[in-house]
Amino acid sequence: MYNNFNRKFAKDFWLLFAAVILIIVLSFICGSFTPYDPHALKTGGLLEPPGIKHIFGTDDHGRDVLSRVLAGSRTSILSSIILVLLSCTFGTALGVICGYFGGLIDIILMRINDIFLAFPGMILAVAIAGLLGGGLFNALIAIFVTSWTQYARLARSQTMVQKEEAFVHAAKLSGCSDINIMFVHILPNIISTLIVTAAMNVSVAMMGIAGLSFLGFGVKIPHAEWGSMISEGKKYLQTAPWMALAPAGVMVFVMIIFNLFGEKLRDILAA
Amino acid sequence: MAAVLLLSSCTGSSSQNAASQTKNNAEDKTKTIKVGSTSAVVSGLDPAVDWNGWYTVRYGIAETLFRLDDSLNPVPWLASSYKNIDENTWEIKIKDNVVFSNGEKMTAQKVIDSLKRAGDMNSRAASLKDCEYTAGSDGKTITIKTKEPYVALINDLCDPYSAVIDTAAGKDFEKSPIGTGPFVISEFNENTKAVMKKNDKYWDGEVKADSIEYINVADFDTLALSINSGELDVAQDLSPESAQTLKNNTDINLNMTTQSRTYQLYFNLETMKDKAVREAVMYALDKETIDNVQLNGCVLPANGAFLENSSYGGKNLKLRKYDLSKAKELLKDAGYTDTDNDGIVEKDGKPLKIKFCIYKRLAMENMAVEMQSDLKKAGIDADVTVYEKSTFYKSGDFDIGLYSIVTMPTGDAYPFLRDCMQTDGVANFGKYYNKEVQEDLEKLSKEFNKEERSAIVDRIQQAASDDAAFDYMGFNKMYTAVSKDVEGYLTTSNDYYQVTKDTYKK
Amino acid sequence: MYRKICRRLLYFIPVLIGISFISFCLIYLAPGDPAEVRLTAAGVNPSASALADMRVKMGLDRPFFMQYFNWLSSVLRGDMGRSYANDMKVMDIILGALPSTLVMAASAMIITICISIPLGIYTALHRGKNVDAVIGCISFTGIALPNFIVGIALLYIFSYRLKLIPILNSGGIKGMILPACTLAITMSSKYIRQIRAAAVDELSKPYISGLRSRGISEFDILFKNVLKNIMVMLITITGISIGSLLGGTVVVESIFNRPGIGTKMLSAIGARDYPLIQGLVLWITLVFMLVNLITDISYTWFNPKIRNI
Repeated sequence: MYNNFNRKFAKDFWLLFAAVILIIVLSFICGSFTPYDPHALKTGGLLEPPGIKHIFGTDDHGRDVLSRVLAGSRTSILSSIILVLLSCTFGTALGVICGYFGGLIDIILMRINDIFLAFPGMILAVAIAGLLGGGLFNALIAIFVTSWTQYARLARSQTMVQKEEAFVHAAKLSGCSDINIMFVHILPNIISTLIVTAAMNVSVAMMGIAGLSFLGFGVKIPHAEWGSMISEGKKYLQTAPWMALAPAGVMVFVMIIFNLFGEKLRDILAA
Repeated sequence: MAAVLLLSSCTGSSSQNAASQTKNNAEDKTKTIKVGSTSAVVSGLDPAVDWNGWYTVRYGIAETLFRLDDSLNPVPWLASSYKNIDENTWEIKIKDNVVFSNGEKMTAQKVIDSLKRAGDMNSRAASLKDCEYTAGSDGKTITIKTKEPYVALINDLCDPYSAVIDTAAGKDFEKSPIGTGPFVISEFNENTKAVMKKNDKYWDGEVKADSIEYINVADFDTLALSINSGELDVAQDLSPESAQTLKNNTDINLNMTTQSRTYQLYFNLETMKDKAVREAVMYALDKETIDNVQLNGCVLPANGAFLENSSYGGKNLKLRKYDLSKAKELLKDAGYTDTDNDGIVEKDGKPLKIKFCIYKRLAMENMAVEMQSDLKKAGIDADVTVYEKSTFYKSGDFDIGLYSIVTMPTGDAYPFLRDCMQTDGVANFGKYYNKEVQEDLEKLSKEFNKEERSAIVDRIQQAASDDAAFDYMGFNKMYTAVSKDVEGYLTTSNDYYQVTKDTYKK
Repeated sequence: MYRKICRRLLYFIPVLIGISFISFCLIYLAPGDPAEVRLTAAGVNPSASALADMRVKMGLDRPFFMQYFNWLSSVLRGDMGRSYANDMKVMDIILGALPSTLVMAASAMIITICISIPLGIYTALHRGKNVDAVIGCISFTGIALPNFIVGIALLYIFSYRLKLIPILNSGGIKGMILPACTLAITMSSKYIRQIRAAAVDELSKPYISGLRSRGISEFDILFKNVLKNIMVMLITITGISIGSLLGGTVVVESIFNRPGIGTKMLSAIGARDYPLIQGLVLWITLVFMLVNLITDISYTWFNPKIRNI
């Protein structure tokens, strides 16, 4: 019976894994193969309701909303994955170093970590993005500044546990360098927890980027991004609700898939 | 989601009560007219401070000696007539029956005190500062002697900073200035709300409305929703998108007023030295289509910087019209061709990319999307950067930039041309220089003859256009939604005459 | 325990200094000349000499650390400077806007707790049944809903379609309902799941069946044991979510047109009103840290085991 459960569990996981990969690949490919040019104006009438020609309708400049949602998926999904990868790598590296060496390095780096952790993420992000000016790159920097801290904390506490394990002492005795021990011996043992955290955070990052875009600190004209599309569509909520609903619906759907995947991953790695 | 349902069922009954309460309140004070806008109330009401006078005059608290008529010509208001005695001397007669809302009679001396105060306090009122004022013995004649010959003095007296207030009454000019208008301020909350009551002593007859309320609303969507649901009687300065949502509401009149606010396109002459490229940009922009179709007619295509019905209308100007093939031809002749078939032209292997800057104001972002697309058709890659405010111009870090500016706030053309085109003009962001234009500007500042003035203005504009230094995307049209119950609410192109004694709610 | 609290307070100091430093850098590194921004904000086009004068007056000609220490010392005296936009004291602007935001955040928190504790425990008790599946599904979707989407949907449904709540309500309790609900919806989704998980965990512990076999009523087990033990976890996640709550107010206030810290922040950024941005970041962070400290202390209170550590 246990076996049965396990198999069903695994099947769910692979299904979700496939879905996540599909979404990433699709967002990558579809960004280039959209039904219409996402930046071309007047592909149909202005604010045309959804129909056969335009599945999600058109926006106030006559651009195809479906094409823009697809083009936006590349920006939104890829940039949140990049953001998570960067902050996870950076945070983990710092955390492992702190946990392994301890002492002054630990104290200094962890205080810096505390300081960034003390800022409410979105507030600092809005301030930074606002001051640097719009643009996706600046928005990513703004979110990165606060998002690396949690990985650093996690990696540090995990490393401190691993440090006392017998195999680490053995490695030390056999003359392995610190870097070697940290990244060859310790890292593989703590990486699963970090991967789970990262997977769960993709949707958080997506929400953060979209939130900044919504407030007007996102991508440049004429590029599409879900948050800015929703913000533009908000003006037409009464007359052309599809402008906001299409990107919002797709975004929520993608985030649910990523969340489900993260949870399943956690369950599997915890089992 | 469950939360919403739960909560709405809890709060549903109380909100319904509240809704009916609002209705009752509305019936109690049927004669309160509620006006909302995203910038309905500012930090103070002292007409002499910054632009605050616009609000004092809008609210019907204070009035000026002259006002602008529909073609932006000054006509007497608190004044009864004026004479230009010589180049430096003006004699103004004021109306005899005007009283301030505190019952004081408006005398020549009181007017002079008010004007002097404005001249001292407001940097835009520089023309009033160094004048010599004399009050006539009859108490209704004012003689103003300017230091230099100054043509636009009467126009300046239309500007709300010169609104006449009783400087002897009270000290709190920011919160409760005493003017001569049909309404008296009764409650003022900075940046939030202003409530005016009827002035029982109004000099020009019975005031019809009991009170007027101006309310700040943070964004356009909320503004449109609130007039749609009847929470407001007037919604000013709606965005074109939000105005669209009101089209089907039969209880609302949607007015569109062309303002003298234009979208001026600057060319940075230091970074765009190739005149052919500048000309190509001008030919490539299909202004008529952008304004009428894409922007739903919320921008009026312009022939020059000044409104057509004004005295500087520029009917004789010959400006470039949309001509895509001409734009392409110009670029080709200048050595730009598309060698790698990416739709963008190159010269010496470098693609033609220009930095196009705008800031968040009115329809600019929408306009930029269309302009970018038009330029791309001609093979020009416009990289749009959106700023929060217009201050980026000062750094000169742009190739072309849009600027939203009122070209004749008081009906005269000179200040605008001086600011934008004179070598050291405060708004000459593109570093424009043309010797003849400088000379003409000098002449314009001293010319009193009307026909001659408009001829000079035409000459200046033609030269600037021939040099491909400025272009005009069109005049902004202001959307105002007024409930059909409200009568006599003004929407004027200069935007500071709104409520009068005849404004009234059924 | 007092020693622990004292240690926490001491620990506050380096973090505070760091925060002040970063808030200062934020403005120092921002593009644009503050002197010019200040002059243009007043509506004058600055001349070169006026700019130079203003730089001296604002202390911008001094070296970086001098500027920082000058700024810090005046902040410590409670003077955060004046807003460029309207020359009001930054402190007054913030104190004026803070109550509205705090009340909104607090009511969102209360709504969240009122919804999520009963639902979380209920689903834990009925795990595997249809109710559990439905609520689980709803809360899972709720987590993936960004607050700006929820906000717009609520505004559209309740104000525009159903006309239950007036749109123009800059103040008052009625104006609070929708924004607080917006924040509460996304938060309670998270809370329901976590409370359910913790309750399931607690209910499966052997002592519960022990209590049951001793004939203790289900009600007592739930409220005297399970809930009490969940409390610690609840306080921890409350502390963590204050940050996202404060961030959420920026979005929610801009959607519902409410005066508060969030709208001030956006308008300050729009106007490049540096002292105000700085003051706001500093203040929100202080509030955030204070709440965390209180959470920490109450955490020790509820879980005696930690007290001695």
